[in-house]
Amino acid sequence: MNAELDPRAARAASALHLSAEGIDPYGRLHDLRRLERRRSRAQVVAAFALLVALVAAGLLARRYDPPAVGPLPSLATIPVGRQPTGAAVGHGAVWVVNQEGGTVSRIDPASNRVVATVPVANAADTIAVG
Amino acid sequence: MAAPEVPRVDLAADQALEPYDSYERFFLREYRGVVELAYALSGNRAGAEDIAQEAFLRAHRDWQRVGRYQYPGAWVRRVAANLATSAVRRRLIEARALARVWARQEPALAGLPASEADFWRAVRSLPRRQAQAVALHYLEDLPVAEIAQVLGCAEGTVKAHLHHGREALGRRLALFEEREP
Repeated sequence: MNAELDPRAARAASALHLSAEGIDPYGRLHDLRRLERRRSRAQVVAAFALLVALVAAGLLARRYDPPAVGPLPSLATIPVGRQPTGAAVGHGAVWVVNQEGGTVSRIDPASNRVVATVPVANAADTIAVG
Repeated sequence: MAAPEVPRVDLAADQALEPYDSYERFFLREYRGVVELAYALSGNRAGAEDIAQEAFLRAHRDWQRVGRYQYPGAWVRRVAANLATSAVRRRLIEARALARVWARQEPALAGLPASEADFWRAVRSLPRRQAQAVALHYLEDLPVAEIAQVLGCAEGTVKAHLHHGREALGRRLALFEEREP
């Protein structure tokens, strides 16, 4: 079988060599260099595009950042008892517990004034209205 | 096209110059052989040169290392042989080749006569490694040791690939011939 195979393979090989004879390796070397330059340029462009996209994404993210929450401005200052530690809102009033004073101040939110001071037992420091 | 940027060398008289002193010389000497290998293993006239180009691009990228090999031609042949026999990678490269064909650039490779085309088709129908070994054996007349270098395997393995490949090839070609009227 191989006695027939080898001459046939030799013919097939030389036909293939013949078919490649039209190739000009000098021209191909030139093509290769051009392709290489194009590829490295494409890489630079891709890297730059990525950079631009990242910067743009960063800028957009900053633009849509919610504004920072700072301390609220003070609208009124109301003197209450000593060392107020807690406050609660309910029944049309603001209630403040004064720990050291042992009292609860009732503030009328319409006039921003203390309208009543109620003594409480012990030194309460939190307050809830229900 | 601009004038060649490298001085012309007599490629036929250049056989003794290994290892290569420059990438250019390496390219000029090995390019056609690699295209032929890619054509034999892929069966695609338009894609063969793109496969070779890809292999040589990689060789250029790694030339610091590849250029120091005793036989850089083996390295570039291995890359080309793997590209030509890997279906996915080959299709990617062939898609590019097709784009060029649409741009009306004829492949420089000439078509093969039907009987020789049949032979290479039979080679391509072999298992991958066998096809590579058989193509290198017939196309370049490489000794077993060099085929082993190209394929990156032991000489015994190459011998086994060649043995089984040639047997299968003989059977398949006999079949092809029987089918012809």
